[in-house]
Amino acid sequence: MSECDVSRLWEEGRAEQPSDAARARALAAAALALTDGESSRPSDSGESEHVRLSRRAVRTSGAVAALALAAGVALVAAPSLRHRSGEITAEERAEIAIGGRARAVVEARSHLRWSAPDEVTQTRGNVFYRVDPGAPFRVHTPAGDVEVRGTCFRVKIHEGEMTGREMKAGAAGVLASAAAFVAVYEGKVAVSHAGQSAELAAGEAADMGARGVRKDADASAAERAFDEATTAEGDASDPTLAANRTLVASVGDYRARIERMEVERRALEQQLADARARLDAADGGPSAPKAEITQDEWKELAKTGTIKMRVPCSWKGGWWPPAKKLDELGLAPSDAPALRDASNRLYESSWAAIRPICEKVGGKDIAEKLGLDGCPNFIFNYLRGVDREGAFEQMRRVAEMRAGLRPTPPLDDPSLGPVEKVFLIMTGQQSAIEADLAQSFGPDEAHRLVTSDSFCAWSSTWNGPGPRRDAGP
Amino acid sequence: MAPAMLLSMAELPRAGVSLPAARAEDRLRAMFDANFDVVWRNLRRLGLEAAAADDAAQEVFVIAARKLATIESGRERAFLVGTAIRVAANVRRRRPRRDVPLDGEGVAEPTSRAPLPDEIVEHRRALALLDRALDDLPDDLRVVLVLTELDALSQPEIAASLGVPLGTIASRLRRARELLAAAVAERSAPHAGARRST
Repeated sequence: MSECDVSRLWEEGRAEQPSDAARARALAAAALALTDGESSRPSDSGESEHVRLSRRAVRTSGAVAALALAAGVALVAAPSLRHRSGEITAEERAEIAIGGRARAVVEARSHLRWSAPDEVTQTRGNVFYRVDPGAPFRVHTPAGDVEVRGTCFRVKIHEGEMTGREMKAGAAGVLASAAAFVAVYEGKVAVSHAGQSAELAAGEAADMGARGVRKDADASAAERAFDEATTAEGDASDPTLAANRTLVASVGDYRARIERMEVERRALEQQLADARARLDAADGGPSAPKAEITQDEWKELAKTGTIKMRVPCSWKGGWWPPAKKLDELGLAPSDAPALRDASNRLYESSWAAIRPICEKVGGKDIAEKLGLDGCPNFIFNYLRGVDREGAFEQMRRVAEMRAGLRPTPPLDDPSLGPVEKVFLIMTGQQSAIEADLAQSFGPDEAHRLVTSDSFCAWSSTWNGPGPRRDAGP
Repeated sequence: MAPAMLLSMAELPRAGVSLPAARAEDRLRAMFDANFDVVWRNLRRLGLEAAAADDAAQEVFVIAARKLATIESGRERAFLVGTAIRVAANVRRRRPRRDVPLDGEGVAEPTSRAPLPDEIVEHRRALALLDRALDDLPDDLRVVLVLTELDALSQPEIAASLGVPLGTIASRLRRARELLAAAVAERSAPHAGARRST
């Protein structure tokens, strides 16, 4: 059992997800705690105590359910995209797939770049690799190269900060060279630097640098020695070492900034290329966005008046995708503002349409308190309580509109009922954000993004009243 | 999806929907979206079963909601994870850990080494093996390892959260990895299952 196997166990641990119900309950409970001092109070023991929301509580409280609806945001972790080329400067630990058969766990402040599925350049930091058997896979570092055919190994790069021992011995050239450490957990690895090379088996390690390639038969002991030599924590009070560390940190920060600017430059070039391609292809404007649910599916749903929707995340300020999500979506960090802005615009337009209905049904106070997340649920439930048949009939009409069985009027059509209007807005949100994103990414890319499992969205189904009574058998 | 009960407007305040300023809601929501899964996963690997982790994660966010105004901007995750460590410790103290299989769903120790085709079973076995091996670690090592492996906090943040020097975190992490590898090897050795199954 090697670190390679342990790494697989951690992959399973990282993939484990809480249930949507647990998310919904927790968000509802937190929202209540935010507003209701009585729901959480200190106990005699001084420890915090809170009203724990059970499954039943969520089901039977409309208000809590309205809040829980907001918690239905499904950020389901999809398998990482298999990037054929890419670059990452990890601000925090990230796990990425490279090509078809390699995975890398990239620790914070590490930098990795690859333009082929079997060739990676690691300029700094600490990266664990697992490579499935196949053709040679190469890792280039400033201090030498690593070649494998199928294995688990770790590469740590030390960017030239001198060890305490070296500094005290008066060695010159503060940032003269980098050193790389390679530990092998499974399979075989070849390391090479400046004409020297070594073959490493599982359990062995090597460090490469200005002093050449040095092999060590005990990977654990060698890694410990490398860490101790490069962290030099025992000499924190030594002003010379402290100055050296500050200098190395500054150089590292400048490098990181240059790398980030390089990534942004490439992203801008890609956007420019996309824009040019759109201009070239623009013979009739962008194509109409596709719906997630097909018209045939809508026809089936319309038989029972059921509404199904996938609602993109849209809240005030917009969804800001974390680095991991951007990676899963195959986007660069510079793409995040476009997603956030589109999400925010969707929020603004949806809220502008739904808010007046919510105010009319529940009053300004209720609309303000429930917001876009809670109002649709409140409007439907309130009106269903007032006129059950009427609310369900409006819901059925929306299903039929989406199925193409009846014309879809514009949202400002005065003949639309409130439930009808709310469901038209909600079922149109995915198309709306797709059309918005198409302005930045192009229609095909926008469609890929909004239909990706990694795109922030939640799905819901509103069961209809059943077949029309006059529909026959 | 629609709730089963209609709530009248008069009932809304009693149900707790008198929400405060939108800014607090938005902040809580952003914290929740960015951190709920991380908190939950950490609770699981800190020794709580799935249902207990659900409750504990809820408790963590309730505490966060109550203390929202005191949480420093940019330190939200550190606050949540620090709270999760304490909540997990309380839960484990209150209820001695039962050596039960995965979520009570009947897929327990790998008593047989024969491969099973079902991916879910394999997934659960892997998690069970990981949790059993983590149980063998001293708590101080386990916390550092879990927070690191589940991407909860950076090493400086862990050091700050636990109030120990950064070098201590590095050495604990190294020791924890060695112990975990040994524990996994011990528990997945062919004789291990047979011994436990007798």
